Amino acid sequence: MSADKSAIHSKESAPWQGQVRRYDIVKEGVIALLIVSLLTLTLSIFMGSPDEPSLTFKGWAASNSDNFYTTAVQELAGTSESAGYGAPYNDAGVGLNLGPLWLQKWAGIHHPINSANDFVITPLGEQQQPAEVAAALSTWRSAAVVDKQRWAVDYDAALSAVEGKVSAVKSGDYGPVPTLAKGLTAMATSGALDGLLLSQGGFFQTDHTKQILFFGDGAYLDDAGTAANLQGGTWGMMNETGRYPGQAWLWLYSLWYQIPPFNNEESHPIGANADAYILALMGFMTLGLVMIPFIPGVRSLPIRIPLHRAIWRQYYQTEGIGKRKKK
Amino acid sequence: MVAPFLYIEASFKATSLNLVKSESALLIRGAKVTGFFSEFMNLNAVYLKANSWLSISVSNLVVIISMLVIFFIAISIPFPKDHHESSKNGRGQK
Amino acid sequence: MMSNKIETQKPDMWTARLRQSWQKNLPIEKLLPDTQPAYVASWIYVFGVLTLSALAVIIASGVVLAFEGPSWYHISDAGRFVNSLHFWSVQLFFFFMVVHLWGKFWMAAWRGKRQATWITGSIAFVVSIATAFTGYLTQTNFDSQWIAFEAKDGFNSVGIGAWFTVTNLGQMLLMHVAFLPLVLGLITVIHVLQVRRKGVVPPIDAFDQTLKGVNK
Repeated sequence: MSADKSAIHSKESAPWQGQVRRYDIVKEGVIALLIVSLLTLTLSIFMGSPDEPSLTFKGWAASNSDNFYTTAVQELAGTSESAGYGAPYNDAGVGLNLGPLWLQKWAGIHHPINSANDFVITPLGEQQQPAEVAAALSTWRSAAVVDKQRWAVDYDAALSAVEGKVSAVKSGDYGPVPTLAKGLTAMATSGALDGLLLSQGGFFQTDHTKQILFFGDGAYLDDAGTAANLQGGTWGMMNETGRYPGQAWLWLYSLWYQIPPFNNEESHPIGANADAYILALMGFMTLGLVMIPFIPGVRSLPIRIPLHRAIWRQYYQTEGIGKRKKK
Repeated sequence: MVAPFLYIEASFKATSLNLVKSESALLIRGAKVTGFFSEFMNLNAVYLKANSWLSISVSNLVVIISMLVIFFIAISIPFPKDHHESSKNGRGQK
Repeated sequence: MMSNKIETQKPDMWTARLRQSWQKNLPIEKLLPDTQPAYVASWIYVFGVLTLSALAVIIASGVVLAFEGPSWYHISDAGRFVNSLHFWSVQLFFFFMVVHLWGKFWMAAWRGKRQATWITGSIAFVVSIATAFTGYLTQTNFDSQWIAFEAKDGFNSVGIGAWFTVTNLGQMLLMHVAFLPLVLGLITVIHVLQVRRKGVVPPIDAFDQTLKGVNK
């Protein structure tokens, strides 16, 4: 049997000696290109393409100024997502792990971000501010770390207690924090913050890491993602804005985020480190796809399940090659 | 006679993205959407949901079902026979 | 005369060796064939060339977009139209490529020392996904903001994010228009040359004598 197999194998790899048919490869290519061009043209003419305008800090502050304000306070208090993120932005968190592999942490800090300074203090300092904001800024800058921490954390807690409703917050000793948050909200509302964060002190700027992180700390981007059905937990990875098809080829990657234990942040170790485990799993499965010709069982599926009888039926008929017997 | 393609004013859905109208007006800055049906294509997508976790947009479903249908059509419908009968082992490459 | 013979028998020049190996493995008759084995008679065979055609349209529309920069299509009708061409050719590209992949799987097309063809093809699929992904990040619109925000956690979680920064538009744009297309183009060329060199895989059981003459 194995002699037969190796004879078949060597015939399969040898140049074909049997019947041939005419085949105009150049003509085929030209026709295919024409068809695909026409299809693309038709789809574009009729459907257009998606382009939801990008969100801005101005839009955030204008539509939900309390949320912007609260987020600014969280940046100062160090309680925002970015402030506690860990690598590659800062050392405030340990990051995710794959069992004993702390790859996120080991990769180190490559894009240093200090949420309080980068998102609040520096932008405020780069613009002419009203007297009270300027005074608050200088109080903050000259204050001891413990004081800064106490003011901001207390104020953040007070805001949380009233669910972020700025006007309802209890009075207390919050130092310059309310004034700073108010100043930044005013800057954002005027649109000045968009420009400042973009330039980040330089003329040319091609890296938007800081803006994206600041955005992500608040509810504005998240709400927009939910409204557009783009949340990862609801297959958003595959979706597109509007009614356009999305990255449907990410279906498998997206699938894992929908099922346990990956979809439960509370479950350890996998759910709590879902991003890392899913990426590793997909890497492994991708390797599997590439290596199909060498994986016993998988590589014989197409031989066992005879779709090939349909594909080559003309040939099987002419040559009188019968079906395999079921084992 | 219709134009080769229509220009439809962007129908950006400010409400769905929780944006203020002024921002969308500011950001679009005169940008227009091309395509006869682009107004329809930019409406909120329709999602099909089965049980608690399965959810797919109609567009993605159409794409995936079309792929399956096209695949089965491709392996089932007859391919035109070669009318220029060729001889056994008449390897035209030579 | 003498030296000629020696050189063709035992080439010690790299150039001569390359030429000889090329002529042996991939003569022009294989590269541009005018016949194919009789079993190459199914519509499933057109999906490879359809995928290549879609790639050509992607590259052509992408080059036009690249000329004007990533924000052009927000403010120009012509730009928006070229963007649509780019968007739909990508959708068609993946559509055809997946059907092609299914076809090749069900043909067990890696048989007869054709594993390299399968491997380069599936790597091309993976690189295409990466290229498309960087494209989504360079749309400079809400979608890119969202994808950058979401995807950063995945890459950061395994340390890749330290170097492959999805929130860095400049890096993603260059990846999308320079590095990744170059890699994809190269793998595609190797893949196609493998197909031409090894020929289209014969039908399963074509050489199984025990099934010959067995009625249906």
